[in-house]
Amino acid sequence: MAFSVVFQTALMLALLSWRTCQSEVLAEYSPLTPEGLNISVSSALQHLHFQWTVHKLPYQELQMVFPIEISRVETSKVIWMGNYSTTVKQDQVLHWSWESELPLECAPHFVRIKSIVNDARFPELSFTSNWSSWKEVRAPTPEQNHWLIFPRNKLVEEGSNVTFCYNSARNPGLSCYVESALIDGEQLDSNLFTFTLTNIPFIRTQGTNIYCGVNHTLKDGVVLFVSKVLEEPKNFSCETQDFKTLNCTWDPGVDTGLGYNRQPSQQYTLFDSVSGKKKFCVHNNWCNWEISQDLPATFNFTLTAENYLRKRTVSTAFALTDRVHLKAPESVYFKNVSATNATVTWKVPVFRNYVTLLCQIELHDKENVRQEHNVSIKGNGEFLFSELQPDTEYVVRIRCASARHVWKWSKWAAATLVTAEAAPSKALDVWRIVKSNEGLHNVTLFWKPLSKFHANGKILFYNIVAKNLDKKSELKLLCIPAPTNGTELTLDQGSYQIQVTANNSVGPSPTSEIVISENSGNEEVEEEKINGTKDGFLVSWNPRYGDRAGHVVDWCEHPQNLHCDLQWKYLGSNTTSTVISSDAFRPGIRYNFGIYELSTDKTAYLVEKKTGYTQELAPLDSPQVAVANLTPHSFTLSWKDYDTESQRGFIQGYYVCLKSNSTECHPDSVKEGLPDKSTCCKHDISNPKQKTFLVKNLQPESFYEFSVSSYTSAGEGPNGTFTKVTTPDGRSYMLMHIILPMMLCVLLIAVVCYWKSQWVKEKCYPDIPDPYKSSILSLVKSKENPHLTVMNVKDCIPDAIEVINKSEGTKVQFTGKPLTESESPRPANLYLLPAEDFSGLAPCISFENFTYNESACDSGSCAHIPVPTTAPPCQLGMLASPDNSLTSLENTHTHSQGEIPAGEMNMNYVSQLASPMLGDKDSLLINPPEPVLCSEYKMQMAVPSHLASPVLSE
Amino acid sequence: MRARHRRPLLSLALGLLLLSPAAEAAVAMRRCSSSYTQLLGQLRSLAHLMKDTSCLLEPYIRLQGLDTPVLRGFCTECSGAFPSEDALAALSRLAFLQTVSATLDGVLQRLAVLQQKCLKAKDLPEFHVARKNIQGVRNNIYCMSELLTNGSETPEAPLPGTEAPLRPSAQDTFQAKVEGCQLLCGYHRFMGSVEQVFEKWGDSPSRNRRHSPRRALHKGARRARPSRRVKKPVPRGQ
Repeated sequence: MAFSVVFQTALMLALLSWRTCQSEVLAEYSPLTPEGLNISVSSALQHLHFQWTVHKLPYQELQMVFPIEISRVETSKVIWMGNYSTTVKQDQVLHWSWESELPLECAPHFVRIKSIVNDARFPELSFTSNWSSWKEVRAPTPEQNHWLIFPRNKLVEEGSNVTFCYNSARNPGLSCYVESALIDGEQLDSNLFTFTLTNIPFIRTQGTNIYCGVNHTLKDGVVLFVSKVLEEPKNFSCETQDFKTLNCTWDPGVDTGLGYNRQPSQQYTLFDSVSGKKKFCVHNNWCNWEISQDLPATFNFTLTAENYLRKRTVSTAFALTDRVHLKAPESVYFKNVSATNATVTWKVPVFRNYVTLLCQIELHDKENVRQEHNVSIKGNGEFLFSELQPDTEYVVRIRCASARHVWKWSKWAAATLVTAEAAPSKALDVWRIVKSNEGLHNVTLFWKPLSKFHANGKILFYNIVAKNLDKKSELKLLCIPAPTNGTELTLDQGSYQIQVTANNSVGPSPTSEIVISENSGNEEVEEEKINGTKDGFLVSWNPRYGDRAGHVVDWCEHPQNLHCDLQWKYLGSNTTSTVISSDAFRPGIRYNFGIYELSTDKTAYLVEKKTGYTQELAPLDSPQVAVANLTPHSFTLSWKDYDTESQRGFIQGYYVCLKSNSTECHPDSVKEGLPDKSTCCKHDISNPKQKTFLVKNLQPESFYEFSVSSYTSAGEGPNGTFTKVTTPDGRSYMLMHIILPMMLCVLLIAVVCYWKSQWVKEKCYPDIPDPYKSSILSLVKSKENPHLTVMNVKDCIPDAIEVINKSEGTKVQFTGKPLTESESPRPANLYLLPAEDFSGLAPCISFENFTYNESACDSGSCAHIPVPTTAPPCQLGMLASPDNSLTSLENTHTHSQGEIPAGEMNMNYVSQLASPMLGDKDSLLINPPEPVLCSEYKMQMAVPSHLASPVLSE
Repeated sequence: MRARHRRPLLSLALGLLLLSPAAEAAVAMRRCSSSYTQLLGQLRSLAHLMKDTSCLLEPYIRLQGLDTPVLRGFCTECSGAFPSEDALAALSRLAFLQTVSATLDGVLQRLAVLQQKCLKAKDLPEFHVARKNIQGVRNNIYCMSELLTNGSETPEAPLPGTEAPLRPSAQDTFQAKVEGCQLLCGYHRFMGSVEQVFEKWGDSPSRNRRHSPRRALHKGARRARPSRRVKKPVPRGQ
């Protein structure tokens, strides 16, 4: 039993030791262990490249797994573990790469590897090797290793993440920046720091600066080149113009080139899979491809865009005839050009003429496309245009494309076509203004120039024929050169037919006709007001005459201008209204419209007149006001009419604004505030025809101010300047108005009295009373003594005559006024006394008796009849007493005739009684009597000098 | 009269055709102003224009993204490869001109390299203008040198070693950026020094400079070397 136990134990140990021994032998000689591990570093790509072999494979190939461990800084700090599975062949060198996030220059890396056989086909070979020994890897750095930051000059795409490391072993307190931003690094080791930039943006082609320094002293820096992401080429297409070359174009997108030659702009390559040809494109957006004439005309192109980081491809496949983009047609010419037809010819430069082309032809005038045609051609093209407008400039455009497949139209080829002229196709639109003047008709003709469409050429002149309808033989012909559009004719009062034609180089237009009747220009039609709007005037009328051909409305577009710019509008015979609108219409301008009916014989009759405004405005001016009839309690204002044309609206009335010291207004007025904060009483005169206004109920000797303004429907005109009025004093006014007439009456009475006094005097007490005519005497005679008779002077014989000598220096004066009773209380005898000596300047002689006392003249102007000094004195004793004679002389300054020299002294008297032989005193005026010596007494009568002189001279 | 007009044209044509240095120099000489005052005025104006950092350095800093406090501070540590103002002031006028011309020649090459390696043609048009200005200065320096040589001054050697430090050295992009920045900074500062020296020049071309002690120390060495004339001018517009 014990033996068996010992034997079993020994067997077990033996088996165990064999097993162990077998395992050791297998480990030592395993042909499947990785061998010859070699690791290379790619600093730019931050790659570790592994390379190893597996010797003595028992089979041709074996599925194996290679676990790999990578440590950083030291072997214990494993940063990555993974398996690489592959099928291993005999004597194969295995490759594997690992990309490090951290730049390899930052720290040493350690790598180990082992193998596991994991092939289901050979389960007996299940085997795991031991790890290989750690292999240290260090990225190479320049000899003068003063670089602190890694990676250097790295190139990444926009949006990438990049990890940087920096070593602060030699620079304690080292700080790092991205551009100008301070970065906090993560400590990886005692002196090793890292930081990661995520989603990096593109800043500039010259790279992003990342640098480190101590206390703002730069120690090291790197440039991170960030490339924009390469875009796929857009709009890639190829086409041919001549079937010789294909021109491929595309939109390259952003340029990914960077500075410092870190990355050039992306390159483009064109590859045709049909022909297997490839072409590197020089330009970044187009490439030419030579078409091989012996190959089928189909292509399958791939365009590849490539930079250091990325590739992008686009493809297109097509048949050549589907990508024809022809050149613009050439040699576009016209032939057989007439007024309405023309033929256009053109050529298309095509390499292969067998291609059928489709061409589009367009005919443009200056505004629109008038004709469009599609024509199929081979080679040269030709097309006939018809229905063209004479004398019109057209532009003909032609473009072509392949008729099989319209890929793109060619560019347009254009040429200008001008058609020939033709006679004008439309009659002129003619109107007239007729003014009658002195039996003549002044006719102003207007016509509207023909549109280019109707002129059919350049209008050279206008022919006008005025035909007297009463005298058929009378013709007036006028030729008006273009571009005149009106003329004046002077016709007599008869009826005239006026014909107007426009003429170009080919011929005249149809005739336009108008008739001037005898009554034209003399129509009296009442004007009616109409309201316009900003859109114009609605003019309506009532038809007058039954047989009419139409209507015409005329108006002036600029009535305030010298040339009113007459406009007219022809309307149908049944039309009774129309809207007249014009851009020239302005608010505040009065427009006058005349409505005419056209008879069938083309005679126009004025039937209505309208006037109105598109928009009435408030007046600009105030009336000129005059004040009249100023009384203490009232005055009258009056003003004149405005000029109609200058009115900015229809005057609807006037406002009279009266300012006074009184605070109350008259009931028919309203109080209104003024801009100067004063108030006035406003009277509204709603009748525009009323041009006067009586301001009443005023206070005497008061101060008033007034202004008058007009108003229209749009409002009131400006308040004119206030005119100041002061009412007069009531009493003086009354005095002036009562006393003055009274004085005038008194004066009138006085004048009448004076005039009557003469009559009374003449009647009652004439200067030289005629006893025969004396009414007093007749009264006395009749009442007292019917037998009284008048003493006849001639019966008296004067017995004495006294001549009083007037001393020198004593002037004989005539008072010139009638003597009063006190001055000559009694009749005085007059003595004619010779003067011995006299030297008076104008001595006069006056005679005075009881019925006569009047100055005969004034000094210096007397006309005296000289009396010879030698003349014997006449006796007047019966008439004059000697006692009173001197007194009388002194008072009356009577001088004797004898003192007055001839020529200097005139006697202004005539004998009061004629010579008995003559018997009539009138005859004395004609034939003054010679003084009769010692003749009987003659009554004397003085006459005014102005009467006496001529008479005496006779 | 006609022959007088034809002669410069003929020389110009021959110079362009043959492209020989002698012909180019002849052409430049024909174009040279004989007015010392005018040449000096042009040189002063150009130096004043070219010392302005807004013409080249600032656009470069903005383009390269170096406009941060740390990087700008590093940029303004201008390249020390350029002669200092004191060194320039100590030179005779001809030696000064030669030094300036040689230094600017080196700057031209560096600018060409910088533009070729770092920039696209459209990136910084100021580079093109700067190169034209440098060529203009060198042409004027040539003319001024001729004017002074025909006078009384004796040509002397320029300061040694002005070109070597200007050769591009940086392989790393960041280094290339900041070195380009320092180069431009040094260039502007150098032109400021040149302007200062030109400002001290008198109105007469015949005035001799008083040599500085430093110059006296190097006198023997310069005499041992063959005297060097100012390089031929570069035709403008190339």
